[in-house]
Amino acid sequence: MAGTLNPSFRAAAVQTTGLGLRRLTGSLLICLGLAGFAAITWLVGWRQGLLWLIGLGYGVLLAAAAFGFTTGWRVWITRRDPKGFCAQFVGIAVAMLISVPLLAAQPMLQGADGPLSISLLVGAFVFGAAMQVADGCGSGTLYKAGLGHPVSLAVLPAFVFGSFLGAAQIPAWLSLGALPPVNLVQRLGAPETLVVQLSALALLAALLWRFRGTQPSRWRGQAVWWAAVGLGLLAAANLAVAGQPWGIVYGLGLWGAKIVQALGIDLSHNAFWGLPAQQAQLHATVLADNTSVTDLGLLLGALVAASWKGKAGPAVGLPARQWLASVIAGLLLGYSSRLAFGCNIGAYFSGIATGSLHGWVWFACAFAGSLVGVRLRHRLGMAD
Amino acid sequence: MKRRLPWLIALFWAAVVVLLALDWRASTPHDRFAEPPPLALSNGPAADAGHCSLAPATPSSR
Repeated sequence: MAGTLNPSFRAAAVQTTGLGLRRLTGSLLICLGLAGFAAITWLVGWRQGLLWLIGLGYGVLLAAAAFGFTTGWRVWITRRDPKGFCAQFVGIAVAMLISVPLLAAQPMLQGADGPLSISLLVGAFVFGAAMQVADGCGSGTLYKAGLGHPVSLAVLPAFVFGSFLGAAQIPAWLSLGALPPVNLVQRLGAPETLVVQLSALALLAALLWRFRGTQPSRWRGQAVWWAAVGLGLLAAANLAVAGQPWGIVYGLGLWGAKIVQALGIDLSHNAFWGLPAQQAQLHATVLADNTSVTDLGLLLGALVAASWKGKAGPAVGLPARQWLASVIAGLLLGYSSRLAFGCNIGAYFSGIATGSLHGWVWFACAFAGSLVGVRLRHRLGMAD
Repeated sequence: MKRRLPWLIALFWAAVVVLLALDWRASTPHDRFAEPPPLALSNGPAADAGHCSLAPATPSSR
């Protein structure tokens, strides 16, 4: 009898050890996250320490619920699965319900107000297409890189360089034509902004649900809804702590600029990086930049959640052509997101949540781009 | 064929830590007496150079 039980005992022991190891790694990473908070607070102040914690929270929620902006749009396009898309609206709505009254009461707080420019139309469209090929948007690339997804680890450096390059060329793109930013909170007032925007999101969600497909959703259970609520609350906290909304790509562009500068290239004459405020940022530590700190926290938070669930470092098997396509798409993601004054976070999520009209324009153009991107993805032989 | 590359995570995080350390060493020393208050709420605008949505010279009218 002992002989017949031994293999099952052994399997159970291996499983328990694996689970224990995962929990141990997860616990160690949580300690590392808290040590990061202590170090950043000690080195650069309480505000940056709090932003690090907010970033950790973003990473945990995104990775734990596999909250995907790119996938949410793609599965709606390919099989009319509305759950991920609607969860995005829930997150935006929660952030909006807190942020809009804050912005109305505290004019010193900054909304994600991007200009309405030609570059916004082009940039958002290209970003929408590229994110489907790279299988990750701003937040998606970052959280999947954090948890060790090999494709996102390859895409991230290209994204960083693209963001740097896009920022460097923003002034030239703006000369093609731009209208000033329009913020609905200033134009209409807080209650009216909430009514107009929440109604628009509710109408869109109702349409997505009305035309839903029959297949079971990619997201099982309630996790994606809770993650959406959590992301909305953290985004509002981001505004209260940093004085500006959640963003991603400014930080990535800054990392790129710092690397380029370290290689001996003088950026002081560049139309963007040469501006006094950017020069000061380039000479200060990256930990002093709000967006960089939340980006770094997001990376680690994703690793914590993935390690806890045993999903860190997923296996991938892509042909060389698909790797190359992903890296090129990463470069385009970075470049186009600076042209569009934000990615799915800085423009779509934070733009709409803080009443910026450019967030809605970004959404429309990027979704149109995603329709093309999904076709491109299929043509390249990539799975949904 | 699908392959797991666990060393890639370690390599990535080692690169992040090294880059942060090099950046800290090369940057202007941080002035602890010029740190912003913990919350921007009720304490003024953001203390750093930008957000993804900001244009180089943001037009003033809204």
